[in-house]
Amino acid sequence: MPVEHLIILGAILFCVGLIVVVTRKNAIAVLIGIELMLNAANINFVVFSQFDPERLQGQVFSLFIITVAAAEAAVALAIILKVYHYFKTADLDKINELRG
Amino acid sequence: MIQGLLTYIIFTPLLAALIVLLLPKRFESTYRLIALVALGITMLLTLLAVTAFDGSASGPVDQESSLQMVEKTEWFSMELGSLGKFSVDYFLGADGINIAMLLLAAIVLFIGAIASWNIKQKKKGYFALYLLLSASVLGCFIALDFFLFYLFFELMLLPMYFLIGVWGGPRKEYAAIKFFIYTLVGSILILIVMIGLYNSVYDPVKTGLEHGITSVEQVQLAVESGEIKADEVVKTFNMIYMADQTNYIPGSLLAELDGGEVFGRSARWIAFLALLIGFAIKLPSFPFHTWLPIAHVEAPTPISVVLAGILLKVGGYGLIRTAFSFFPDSAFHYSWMIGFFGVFSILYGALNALAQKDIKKLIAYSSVSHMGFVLLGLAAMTVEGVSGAIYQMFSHGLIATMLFLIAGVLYDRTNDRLIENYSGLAHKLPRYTVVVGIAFFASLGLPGFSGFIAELLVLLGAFKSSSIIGAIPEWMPIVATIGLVLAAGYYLWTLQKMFLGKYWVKDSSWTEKLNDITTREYLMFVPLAALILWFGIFPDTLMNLINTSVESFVVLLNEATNR
Amino acid sequence: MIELQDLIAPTAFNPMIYWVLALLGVPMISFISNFFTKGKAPVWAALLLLINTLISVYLAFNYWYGEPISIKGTWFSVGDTTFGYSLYLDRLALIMTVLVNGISFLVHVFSVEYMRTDPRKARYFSYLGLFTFSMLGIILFHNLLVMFMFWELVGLSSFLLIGFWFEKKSASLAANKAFIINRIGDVGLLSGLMILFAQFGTFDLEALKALMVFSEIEDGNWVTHFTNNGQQVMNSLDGRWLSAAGIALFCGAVGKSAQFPLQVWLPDAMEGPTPVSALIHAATMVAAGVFLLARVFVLLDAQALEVVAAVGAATAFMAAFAALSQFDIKKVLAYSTISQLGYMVMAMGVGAYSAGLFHLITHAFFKGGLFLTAGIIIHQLHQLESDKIKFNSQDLRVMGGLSKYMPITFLCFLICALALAGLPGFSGFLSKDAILLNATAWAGQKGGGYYIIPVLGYITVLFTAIYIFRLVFLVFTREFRLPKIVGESGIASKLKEGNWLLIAPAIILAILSVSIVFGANVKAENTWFMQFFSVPIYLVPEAYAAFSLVDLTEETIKGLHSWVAIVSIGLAAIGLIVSYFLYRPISKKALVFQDAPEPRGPLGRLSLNHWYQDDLYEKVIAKFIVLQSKSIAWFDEKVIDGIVDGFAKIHVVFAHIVRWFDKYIIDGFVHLTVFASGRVGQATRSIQSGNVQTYILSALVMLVLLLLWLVF
Repeated sequence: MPVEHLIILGAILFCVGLIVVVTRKNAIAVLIGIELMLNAANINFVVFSQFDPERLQGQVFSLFIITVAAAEAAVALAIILKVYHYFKTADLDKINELRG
Repeated sequence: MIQGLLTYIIFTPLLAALIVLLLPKRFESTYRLIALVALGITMLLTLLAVTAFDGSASGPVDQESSLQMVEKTEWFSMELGSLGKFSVDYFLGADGINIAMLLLAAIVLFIGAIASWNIKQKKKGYFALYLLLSASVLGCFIALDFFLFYLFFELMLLPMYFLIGVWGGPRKEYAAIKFFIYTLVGSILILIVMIGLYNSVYDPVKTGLEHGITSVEQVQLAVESGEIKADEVVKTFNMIYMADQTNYIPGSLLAELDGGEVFGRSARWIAFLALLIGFAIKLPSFPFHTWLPIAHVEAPTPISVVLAGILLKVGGYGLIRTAFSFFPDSAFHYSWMIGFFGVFSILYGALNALAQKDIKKLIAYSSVSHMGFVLLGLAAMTVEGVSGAIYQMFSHGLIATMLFLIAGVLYDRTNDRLIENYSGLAHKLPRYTVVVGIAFFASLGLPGFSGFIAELLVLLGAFKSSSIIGAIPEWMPIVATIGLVLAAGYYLWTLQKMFLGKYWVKDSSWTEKLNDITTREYLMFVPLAALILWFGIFPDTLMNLINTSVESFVVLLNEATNR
Repeated sequence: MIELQDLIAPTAFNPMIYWVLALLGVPMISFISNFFTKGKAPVWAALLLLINTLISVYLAFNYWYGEPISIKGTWFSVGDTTFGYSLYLDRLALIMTVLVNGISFLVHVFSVEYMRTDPRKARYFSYLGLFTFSMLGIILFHNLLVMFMFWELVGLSSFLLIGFWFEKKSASLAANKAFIINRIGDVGLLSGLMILFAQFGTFDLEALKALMVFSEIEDGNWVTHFTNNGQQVMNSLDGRWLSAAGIALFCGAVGKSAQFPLQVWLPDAMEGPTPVSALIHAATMVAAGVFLLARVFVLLDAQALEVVAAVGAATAFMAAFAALSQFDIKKVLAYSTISQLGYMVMAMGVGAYSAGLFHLITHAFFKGGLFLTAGIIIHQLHQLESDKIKFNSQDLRVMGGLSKYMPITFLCFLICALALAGLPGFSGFLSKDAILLNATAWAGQKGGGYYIIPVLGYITVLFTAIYIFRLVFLVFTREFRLPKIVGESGIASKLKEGNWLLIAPAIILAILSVSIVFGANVKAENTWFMQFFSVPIYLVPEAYAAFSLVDLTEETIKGLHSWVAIVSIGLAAIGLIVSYFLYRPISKKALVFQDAPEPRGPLGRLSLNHWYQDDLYEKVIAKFIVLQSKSIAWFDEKVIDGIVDGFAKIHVVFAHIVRWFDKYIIDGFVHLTVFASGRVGQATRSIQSGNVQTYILSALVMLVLLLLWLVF
């Protein structure tokens, strides 16, 4: 399987994630988009790890990312829960407290 | 002879002021006693200084060696980079010109303390300020460092402002502010000249020390020849050095040779004019006199006394000590104008006095008239004229004190000073009338009283002036004599209106309040009358103190006109 | 070259100074002690004056023939100038001390009775002491400055005595007038002192005279060369100052001796007690001016002397004319005094030094006598006044026929009046004759218009006789008019002769007015007085010196003498006759004199009001000065002070402008900055939508753009 295909897959996955993050209104959907982007990065790490003589650094890095993503998802979901409690909505367009 | 006598003279009242401030209010009744005792001690010390002063020993006024009882220590000094070293001395000393003023100040301040006996409100503040005023007045007369002099000069304003503004009459605030601002304007002019002088005069002794030269003459030669450069000298505020033209840095702003120019005129002329106006405000001379009547009318009696008795003399003294001594050439240049303003003040003050309805205002304007003689005498630049000017300051100090006390006696009893509200007081107050008669006749220049000697000397000196040094023309003293006639007019007119004729007062309730003078008042009047008589009959008492200094002062003036 | 210091060097101790000190000291003691003596004052003061009179008589007898005694000392010094004092006892000083002390003593005696009921008589005698002291000071001192001091003190005592009854407004005003007008003269004298001092550097009269000899006129400048402390001195003034000095010195005499134009104070001075008028305003003080002129006589130049003569003649004439129509007995005598002083001054002016002094002495006696007798009349009439009956005891209209009631007084008055009129046999004749003779001779030398001066003198003789005999007739002849006026006939019997305290001094003065006192002959030159006082020689530089009577030949004098005597006696006689026809007992005027109105004709009014001089001074000059002073006070308050306050106001206005500027301009900039940044913030805040996705998007866009920029 040529490297190009895998990289394109990663890129597509990243783009999908990005589009989800930018376009979806629901905070959970955005979170899912972020997860997609992280996984796109993981794919890239795994793909490029074949050029590593020990073939390990990329894979270990992706394992880290999966762990961090899990933790991040936990924290993010907790925040979203709180936000939902506070604003009674998870719609990001309505939550614009940072507006200047 | 006590070491540091002059310091004690200044600091005794200051210490007493501190004591008054620190004593709790419980001891309020002792404040006046403290003030009286402190000023009594000051007067005794001054008498000691006067007796220790050797009138015949004085030398030229521009030499430090001719001073007596000198106290000179460095007060502070700072390096100011390219501006040189800024150094101020604590420099006191007495010569013939200020010893007379010192004596006068001590006497008048003491009498003022007696007159303050009846002050009722805010005693602590009053006596503390009065003592502070005393210290600064005394200091002003004996300080010979321009900086120190200026310090005392300014320090007089502050207590005076409050003394008029707090303890004064109905329009006290207006009077106090007017007095303060008016004199402050004068002070600023003096300050400017002081800075200019500081930049132009060096201390030959200290400069010599810096350069390892011991002889003053050699230092002066070296500075003149440029051997010691202008920025290597030690500058000074010493008023004695300032009177010696060789101590001016060549080419500096106020140097006699190659001096600078301001507004296209010699800087020395401008500086002289600035000093003249500064001190003429204090004197006061027409047209800078308008603060005087209102300040006198509103001030409480003892403050009027100090104001007329001493503060005016600071103006005359300042003119002699600074303007005329530092810039004799400019003084000669402007002598016609000074003499004219003198004569004009004499007549103007007298005519104004003639029209006054308030007796205190009348006395105030008569002060303007009498101080005109000081200007005339100074402008004459002759020995008689200058002696007369100093004598006039001394004599007017005593006479004006008596006159204002007289006005105070009446005001104490009835709170009214209008001449037209009284008539025939001689029936009711015979003793008071005698005192008034003495004071009035003394003030109008009756022979036998000190005022006559003063005015005579001024007139003689002024007439002599034109043929001796040509400072002022002959008509000036002759016109000035009209002032004597007018003085007789306004005093006798007042005497006749208030004291002669049938007894009548405007408000019949005054009759019981009008008591003849008390023992305390006698204590003020009798010594004053005795002094006025003494100095009218034995002028040598004062002349012996001032003669040699005045002579050398006149020599200084004459040399400048010959250069 | 003359050395100034030699001239004014203090003399060795001379025991004579004790006598001089006694002369001055005794009246001084009287002055001071009488502040405390109360009731005993009159006797005590009279006793002191008696002692002083005896001292002066003793001195006069002892030192009359000797050389003048001169005592000098230093008083004080200014610079290298010494102000000294000097006492000088020459014949003039001696005779003047006797005169002053003697008349003062007589007046003291007279006053004992005259002031008996006055509650403040101690003060009165005290003032008399002060007067005697200062008058003797003028006489004894020979230094112009010291003389000037006593001169002013005399003015003071005159002020105090004129205003002695100060409850009367007129008295206090008269006192003021006397002092102020005298001051004007004194100021002139002071100017003279200034001129002499500038030129000679001393006030000592002997030194002045010595130095005057050494001064000369060079190119119109008055130059004096002398040495002072060994140093050459050359003082120079414009030549006109020499004349000015003389005229200025004369100004002092004009004030004190009541000469035109300053004579207005003397008639008013009659407000004082009558003995005071006799002593001060007739016999002694007013003569001080003449005495001063005598002292400085040799320093006066021709021009000054001409002024002196003209002023004297004018005064003599004007006052004699005014005396013609007065109703107040003292006023008549006052104008008469002015007129006689005019004679003396005129005498000095024409160079008749000794004649002037002679007249001073004779006048002192007869005028003192006239005033004292007038005083007796006033005093005795005053006794008649009661609560019910009020009248002016000095008014001629209430008098008349008094010779019946007071024969001795009448006799004294008559003798003195004859002396005043200048009839032979009485002292006035001798001295007046001498003056007129000299004036005529003087005019003869000068010629032309100068004749006006002796002519005025002659007219005055006529007037003098008229007014004094008018007085004699109106006061002493016909019948007592007072009862008719007050309507009570019994009152006349109460009028009595004065007691001996009043009469004795008058008698003594009357006796001294007889010419035999001065020698038994009719020619003034032959009296002992004229023999002893010779005319001094002028010392002023020749170019300015006056012609001197000494230069006249005796023949000229002799030729003139009988003419002058005849004319003056004739005029006096005519005056007497005119007066007799007008005022004799049965004349029309005398019959209705009690109702006599004030004269109505222009001449009469001119005489009564003394040429309207008083009105001129009061209504024009004094008013002008008062107005002037008021306008100057206004000027001072509004303009000068206004300018000062205006400055302050301008400052306040300026301060307000600055405040406005500060508030709106300076502060405005600050506000503008804030406002601008706020606006900018407003403008940019929309970027901050608060929408996280937008942020991310924009970050993405930026990243893409950055990448694009990096790549290309």
